[in-house]
This record gives sequence, C-alpha cells and structure tokens, in this order.
Amino acid sequence: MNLNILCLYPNMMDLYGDNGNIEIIKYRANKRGIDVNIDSYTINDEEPDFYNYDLVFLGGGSDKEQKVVSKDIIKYKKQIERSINLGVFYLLICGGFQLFGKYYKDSEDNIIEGLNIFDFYTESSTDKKERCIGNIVISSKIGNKNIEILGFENHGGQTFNTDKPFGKVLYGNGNTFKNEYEGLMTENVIGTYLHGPLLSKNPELSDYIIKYCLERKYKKNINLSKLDDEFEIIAKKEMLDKLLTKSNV
Amino acid sequence: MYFVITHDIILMLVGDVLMKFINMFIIIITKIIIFILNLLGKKAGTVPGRIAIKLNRNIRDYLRVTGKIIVVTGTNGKTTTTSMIAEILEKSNKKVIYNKGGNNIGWGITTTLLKNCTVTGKINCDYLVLETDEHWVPVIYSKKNMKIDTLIVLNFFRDQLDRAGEIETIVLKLEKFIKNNNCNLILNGNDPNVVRLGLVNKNGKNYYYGIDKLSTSYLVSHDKMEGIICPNCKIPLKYDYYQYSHIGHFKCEKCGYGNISLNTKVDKIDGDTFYIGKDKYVTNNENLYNIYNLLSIVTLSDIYNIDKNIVKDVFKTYEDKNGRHQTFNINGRKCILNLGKNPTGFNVVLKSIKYKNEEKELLIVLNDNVNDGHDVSWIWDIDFTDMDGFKRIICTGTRAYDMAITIKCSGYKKENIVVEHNKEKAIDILLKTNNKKYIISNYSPLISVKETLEKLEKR
Repeated sequence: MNLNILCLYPNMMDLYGDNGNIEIIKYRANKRGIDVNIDSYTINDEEPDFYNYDLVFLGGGSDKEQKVVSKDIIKYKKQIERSINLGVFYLLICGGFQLFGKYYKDSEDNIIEGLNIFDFYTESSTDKKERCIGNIVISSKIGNKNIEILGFENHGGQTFNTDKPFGKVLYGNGNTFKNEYEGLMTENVIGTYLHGPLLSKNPELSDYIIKYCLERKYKKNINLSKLDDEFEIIAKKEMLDKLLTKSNV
Repeated sequence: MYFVITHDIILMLVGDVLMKFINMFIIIITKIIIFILNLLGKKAGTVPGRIAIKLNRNIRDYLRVTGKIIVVTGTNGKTTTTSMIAEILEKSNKKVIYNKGGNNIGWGITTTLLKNCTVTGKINCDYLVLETDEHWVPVIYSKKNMKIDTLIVLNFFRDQLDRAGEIETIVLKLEKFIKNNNCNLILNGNDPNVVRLGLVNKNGKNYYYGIDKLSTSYLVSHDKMEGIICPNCKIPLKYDYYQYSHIGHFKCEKCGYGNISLNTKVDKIDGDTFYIGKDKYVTNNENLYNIYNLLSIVTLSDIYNIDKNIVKDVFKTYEDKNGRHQTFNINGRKCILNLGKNPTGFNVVLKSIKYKNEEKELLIVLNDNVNDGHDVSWIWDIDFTDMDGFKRIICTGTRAYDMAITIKCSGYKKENIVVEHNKEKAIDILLKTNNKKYIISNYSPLISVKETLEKLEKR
C-alpha cells in the first residue's frame, strides 16, 4: 500500500514547524510498511494533479507570505474544490486554514482573498499585540471517540462563521478570543489553528487520517497495527495535566 | 511594595532639582542592591535594573555616556560578538563598558548602565558596547542621550515565535527606528532580511559584510528559510548560492534588490583560517555562523581604526565562557556545550558535530520557560536526519519528551533515546559512558548546565 501526499508551498507556509505533520504521517505509515510519496508544489512549479493525491497539506505563514500564496493558489480553486468533493483529505493549519475561507483581513487592513470554499472569514485586529497565543486543548470527535487534542495556537486573525468546528475548546482561545470552538472539520477536511505540530502529540489523529486515506484509496476496511507511542502519550499527559488542572482549580 | 514615581508628575510639582536627587537616590539604591547580590555570590542580571525602572521608568534619560555607543543585535551570535568586541577594544587600551552575561533587554541593560555610572549619572568610557534584543533597540536608543554610533545587525532567523514574533514585525520596527536616527550600520550582506535595513538608512552610512561562494556552499537550501521574498516586488528572490538557511548570495531579478558591494568580504576559508583579500585570520571556532560574526567585527575595526593585529589575536585565542561552544574536561572526557535556541542556531551546531567520525553521545536540554517561549514547535525545523553516529541521545528539560518524539520520528532508534526531566541526573547519565560528549541546550537552562559542568570539572 502507499500514500500519496502533496505539500503546498512548503518553503513559504511553514512558520511553526508545521511540515513536521507530514514527517509524522510518513513515520507512522512507514512503521506499518506503507510507502509514502511526498510531492511539493510552490510558486512557479508545474500545476499539480490534485486528484492524484490522498492527502493535501498546507501550513501557516506570515502575512507577507500569505499574500503571495493567495494570488497563486486561487488559480487552482476549481481543482481544489473538486478534489475535496472527491474525498481527498485536506489538512490545513493556521494561515493555510484561513486561505480556504472567504477572505483574510490582515493587521494592516489589507484584504487577502481566500479560495471561498468554506463560508468562514478571518479578520485581524489592527493592534498587532492582540493575538491568541498559548497552549490549547480541544475535545474533538475523531472516528467514534471524543478525544482531547493538544496544540499551540498563535494567530492574530479571528475566524468567524464556522459551522462545523474541529473541536470544543477546553483550554485556550479557539477561532476567536475565548471562543467555545476551534477550527473546522468535515469528513475529509481539517482546518485548525493548532501548531505543535498538530500531529506530534496526537497520534490518534494521525492514525485517523492515515486510515481514512487508505480506506478511501483501497476501498476496504483498514486496521492499523499499534505503535509504541510511549513518548507521545507521556508528553501529552504532562501538558494536559498542567493545563487542565490549572484551569479547573 | 515599591513606590512608583511618575517622572512627569514629579517634574511638574517640584521641578528639576528634586528629580535629580531622586535619581541619585535610585542609582545609589541600585548600586547597593548590585553590591549585596554580588556579596551573596549572585549575578546582578535583571533584578537591579528592574527595581530602578519601577522607581522611575525614565531613569535611563538621566544618564550621560561620554564614549561612543556600539550596539549588537540580531537573532544569533549577539553575546559572543559583543564580548569579543569588548576584548578587542580593551586590548587596544580603550575604556569599555559592556553587558557581559547576555542580559540584553530593558532591565538587564539598565542594570549594566547603573552599575557603571557615577551618582550623577555619568558613564565614563571610550566605548559602551551593548548587545540588545531586537525589540528593545528602538526602546532604549531613541533618546538623545543614548544615541547609537554604530549598530551591528548580525542576522534574522525565526526564533521563539510566541515571544519574539515574526521576523517581519522585527524588521519593520527596526526600519522605523533607523529612518528616525542617524548611525552607522554594519549589516550582514548575505541575509535578505538584514540588507533591507540598509535601504532605509538615509542619514548614516551602511557597511556590508559577506562570504563568497565556497566549496561548501549549496545551490539549493535544505534548511528552513525566512524572508526569501523581495521586499519591493514581493516575488521570490533568486539565489546564486546558500551558505546555510537563507544566508547566501541573493538577488531580485526584477528590481535588483541584493545588488550591494561588500565592504568586508571573505574570499576563501581553509579549515580554521579565512582570508579577507590578502589578510589572513585564524579562528578557534570555524563554524560558518561564527565567521560571519567575526566579519562584523572586522568591519567595525575598520570604522574605528583598530589595529588588525589585536583583532587577529583575539579571534585566534578567544574562548567562550558563556556556554556557547565551551569545552569541559570531566574525568578525562571531553564535553562540549553549545547553545541551540532556534532552528538555525541548532542546525549549524548539530551539523558541525554529527558527521564527525568519533564515538560520541548527545544531551539535549529543552525548556519552555518564558524567555524560551512556551511554544516548542520550532524543534521540528531541526534537521535530525543522519543521527546514527550518536550512541545515545539523552533528552532533558521541561519538554524532554517533545524532543524525544521529534528525534524518534526523524528515524533515530527509540531504544537509544533516554528521557530524564532532571538536568543533573541527565548529565550523570551522559557521563556514565566513556566517549566524547556533546550538549546542546536552549536558552533558559544554558547557564545552570554550564555551572553544573564547571563544578564537575573542578571535582
């Protein structure tokens, strides 16, 4: 079996080690004998065949880079929208998430056009100090289970009008300051502000994505073998204990 | 409880004379606190300055510096560059005041200033050399009495994003500062983020330094990069070669951004020796990032007519005592400590050791305290491939497990990773075996790790 992954603009949209997510998917797939092919697309490259991939990834960037990427990615709106409808999995972090909405208004009131695939929109405060920064925990339904997802958020943009959140905020801010919800999740799209990288301490989520991609591709039930997640489990537990006891007491 | 005096209100009420007395009083108190801290064997880092600022937030306005102010800023290399400059100037028989311990934000700099001034606020020196956090440059040096003569900008890399913010924010702040001031700029001509500052320097002079294409230069960068878009045209910059990360020879094909002539240029590097024209320099730390820092110093010595023989002598003999590239001998084992607080800094250090053909082990210390940044996602930008040369990798610090995950996912054998939160215990584990030891620590644990190693060395 193999997984075919496309990383969009990895040289520009990788502000917080977000490309680590793909490294993690590759590691966990390889451990189970699944081959992983990773292609990248950036400005001036040939048009990628979006339909040919199982997973498409786009990370976060600074306002400056996001502006440049926005102009380029809009050329592929049709292909991206159609591949989502065909079930290709999209993992979108921070700035990458923002680009899939209607628009992003940056801290200097510039409007950066989005792909307008989803109805949400994002606006930054003109005060650059106003940012949602810190560790964040959300509760998210992954498969049939509710699990706690841990990450780090750092965004000036406030995202409004999301109707299918990625999870309920247990600690931290979410889509806007002190929001109840974080991100966006459909059957095959996750858009979120969680860095860390997202998958580094949430192995269940990594496996959920791998399983989804393989089941779609091979049209059969896939049972992934268990991996030794000792480090991930302890790292996550330590941080959850610190955050959740602090906020509840 | 401190009592807070607002400068303006006092001035309004009782005028200049009383304010002078109050400031004298604050300076004396600060000096007493520094004296007591030193007596207790503690370093007078940020605390005295912090108290002084609490008492009068404008206390620095009261100071007068007799000499020239040289400021070193940028992401990596500030502490070492500053102390080398100080050593060179001292050896040139100049009176130098500088911030030794790397206390480079408002509180720490205020401590250094008040420690070295007279009660009337006069700082007597030929040169005041201050390493300064990028964000604090406009805060500290915008007033007339603290006017910079030369500002050195070493590089801009991504660093502690949750604390320091994006590079773009820093560059914009410094651009604004430079526009409104008049000072010499010594700039890394191979860093596109730094070269931008020269464009807005209409009042002062620009001096650029850089390194020519070497046999080790890359045509494609494998590291994380920043600022690879032309600031004028917003299109990707074209690189002739990369030295590391986004450091290299770049140009915008549309507007020519990056077409600068270098005042100090290395033509050739041969092991620990580098050549600037016919001048030959030898360094005890041949890492490329260090040679870049040395070039800023060579440029500075041109501006201030400092004897090149003294510069050469210091380059050759300088040894860090600040945990940056510091060597220890513990029970016959060589142990080298380095700082790695952001991906680029960590990568240059790691690259310089991982391919060495020797039996070795590595200890990594990772904390997430306030001055480290609570976000540790940057460790995923470190290149942990080809780590099999290390027999074991020990991870310690508050975020030891995060580090262990990153190393494991890069393909290093999990069985050879040891995790121990306690730093002293982790150092014990490291020293149990008989081979060469490397330690890379991020910012907040560095000094305590250094001190532990110094104690072990003396035992």
